[in-house]
Amino acid sequence: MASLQPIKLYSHNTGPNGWKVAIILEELAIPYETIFLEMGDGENGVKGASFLKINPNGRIPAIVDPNNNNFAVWESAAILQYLAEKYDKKRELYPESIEERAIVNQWVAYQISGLGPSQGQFFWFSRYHSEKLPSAIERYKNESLRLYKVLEQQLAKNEWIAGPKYSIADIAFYPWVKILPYVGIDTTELPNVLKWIEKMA
Amino acid sequence: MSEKKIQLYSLATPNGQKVSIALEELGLPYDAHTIDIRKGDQFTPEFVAVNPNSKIPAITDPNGPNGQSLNVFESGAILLYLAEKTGKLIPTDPIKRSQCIQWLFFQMGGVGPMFGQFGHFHKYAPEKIPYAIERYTKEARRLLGVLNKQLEGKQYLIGDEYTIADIATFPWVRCLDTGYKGWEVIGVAEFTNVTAWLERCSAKPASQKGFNVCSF
Repeated sequence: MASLQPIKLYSHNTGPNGWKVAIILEELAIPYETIFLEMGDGENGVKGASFLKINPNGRIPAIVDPNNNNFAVWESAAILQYLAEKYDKKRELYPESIEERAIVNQWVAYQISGLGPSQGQFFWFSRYHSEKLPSAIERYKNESLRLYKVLEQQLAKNEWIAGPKYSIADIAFYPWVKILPYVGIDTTELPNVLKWIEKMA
Repeated sequence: MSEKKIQLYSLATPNGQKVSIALEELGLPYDAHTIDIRKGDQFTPEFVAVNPNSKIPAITDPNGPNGQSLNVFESGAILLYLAEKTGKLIPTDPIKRSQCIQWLFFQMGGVGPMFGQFGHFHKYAPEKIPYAIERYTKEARRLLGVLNKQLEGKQYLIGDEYTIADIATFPWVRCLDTGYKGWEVIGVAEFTNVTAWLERCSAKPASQKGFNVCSF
């Protein structure tokens, strides 16, 4: 690979989504520099004017690829796809065929639309919000547990989340699932998820 | 001949409508099966075999690899699959294609879940929790603001081309009114680029047809 200029990764000190991108960059041995943003709309903030030019949604992660005319990509799943398609020459992390991709994409989608938001709202209501609202906490805890049980079933039958091969689906889940032992969700019925966490480490 | 048609398992919720609308736009033959989530149809072993997450929509494509059938769940994954298979509703230019996928995932990870939480706390939750209603109302407005800015001077989310990014998103904006009766509470009318785009997308014959597939 001709020497690449470092990809700029915009991230934050807390929050799992930035790590998804760091993981794939490491896996593909792509040089990168991380710019840690702050919350809020200050100059170095995620909702600040200069970052909003990169990601109009004002959330991390986002990347800017100097090897591609400073093309910006935001939404963690879109970044994973972009980096895999552009830089994973062996096509190991994201398959070639449309059908195999569909299977990987459905699990990535499950993480970004299901597990992430539910666990995220669970964190918010159980840890960050000052007022304890039991029905909201219950709602997100129950949905997170339900989603984990589905994942457990999948990992009981498959080596990796999307099947027999490691893929961007595993990368998308890992930062969220890795913290499972500390989340406050009962893991006694999730042995295969726990085994997968160890395998990923 | 019906064995060769895509089998759609769905209900006329925003996520279900996305896929029906796409199938209609693409002119792909399909058989629609209503999965009534109010009655627990999503938990039957037959449906769990198609989608272990017990959510709609899901499809079975009999024309899968090596002549085998393929199940696909997650509306965004289904849209991507149908677009890649047909080469339609997704740009060919790699830059525009990535942008289309970014906006698709923005809908999947942001618009859908957050509008959905608004709907829950505003309409469905037995207990009215002011903080939660406010939280999701604010986030819905923020997301509509992002969409509004993106649509400035454009027909569709990534320019002149109608794509799966639009199809994924507009049924959810519509649902703020038709499903959740939250149009005024959120103040959607202020986001004039969004409302014009919603009208434009909804008026298409495929959208009109797709809204009513697998109706309640």
